[in-house]
Amino acid sequence: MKTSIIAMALLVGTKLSAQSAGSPLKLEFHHATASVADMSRAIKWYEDKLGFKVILHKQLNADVDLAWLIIPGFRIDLIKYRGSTRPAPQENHLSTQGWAHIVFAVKDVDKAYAALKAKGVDLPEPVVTIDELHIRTSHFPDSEGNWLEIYQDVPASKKK
Amino acid sequence: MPAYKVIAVLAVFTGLRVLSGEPMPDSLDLTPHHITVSVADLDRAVKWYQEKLGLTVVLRKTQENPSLSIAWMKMGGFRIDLIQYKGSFKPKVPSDHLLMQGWGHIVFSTADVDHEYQLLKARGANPSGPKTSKEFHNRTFYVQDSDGNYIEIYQEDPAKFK
Repeated sequence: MKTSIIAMALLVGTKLSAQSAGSPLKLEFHHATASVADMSRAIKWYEDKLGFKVILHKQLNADVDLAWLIIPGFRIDLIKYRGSTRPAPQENHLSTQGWAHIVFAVKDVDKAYAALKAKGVDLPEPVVTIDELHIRTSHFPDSEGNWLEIYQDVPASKKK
Repeated sequence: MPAYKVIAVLAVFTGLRVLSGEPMPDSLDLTPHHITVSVADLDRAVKWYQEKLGLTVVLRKTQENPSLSIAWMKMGGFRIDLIQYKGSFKPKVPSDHLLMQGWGHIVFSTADVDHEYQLLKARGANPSGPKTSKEFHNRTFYVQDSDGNYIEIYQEDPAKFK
């Protein structure tokens, strides 16, 4: 009897935990879409600074201009909506709730940072090591004020 | 060789180089790693991403200066970072979220968009009905997370649509 109560409790427990955390959806990160103020400026920035290539650029209707840009394995979509506005930029972009930044892993974050600097990218933050998270990282905005991050895992023994 | 032939050969060579996907010399070699979202209520957001999308927490911590709480949520080979940043606020989102400039939505591809739609609905999320675009050869729907952030679920091959 005692055993069956334990078994029942275990079953109920399993069922509850199955309900509280859903099985993973079968999803793969495909692209991110940014609403931009100036389509030509944004395309030029992603091409010149990050090496993206335009694979589609289309005026969908009088109000919407769309471009798909790719690097191997990833796409960024830029959309220019007539009448779109940007919330006032804050001192830290995380102060504005919503999708905040897209993060790219690089082999050597300092080299990537130097390459971006040489291309004239606005880099408001230095590269910093966050000891607790074992990462070395820097955030910067695109031509429209959308934030990106380059990042590298730093093993504890090889911290810079 | 006449100049026009030289130019033609060069043009073909350059074209092949671009089409072959060979990295350009100054390429940064970027690998998409994760996306970070600023949320109003970290506990509520963690619960939503666990229950609705099935993500798991791999790290959770709170820090001062700046004052924030963070959760790293893993899904397969990708990660979504949720951050509750002290003093953050939500701008008034227009009826069409793309009328607000910034990162508008993130998009995940899936092999069966209708299946994922049904799953999300059964879990009490609020997905919009899937729509097929003949122009872009895809079938797609939006779901909003617990903070109202837009996520798009997307299937590319129209031959597989139900």
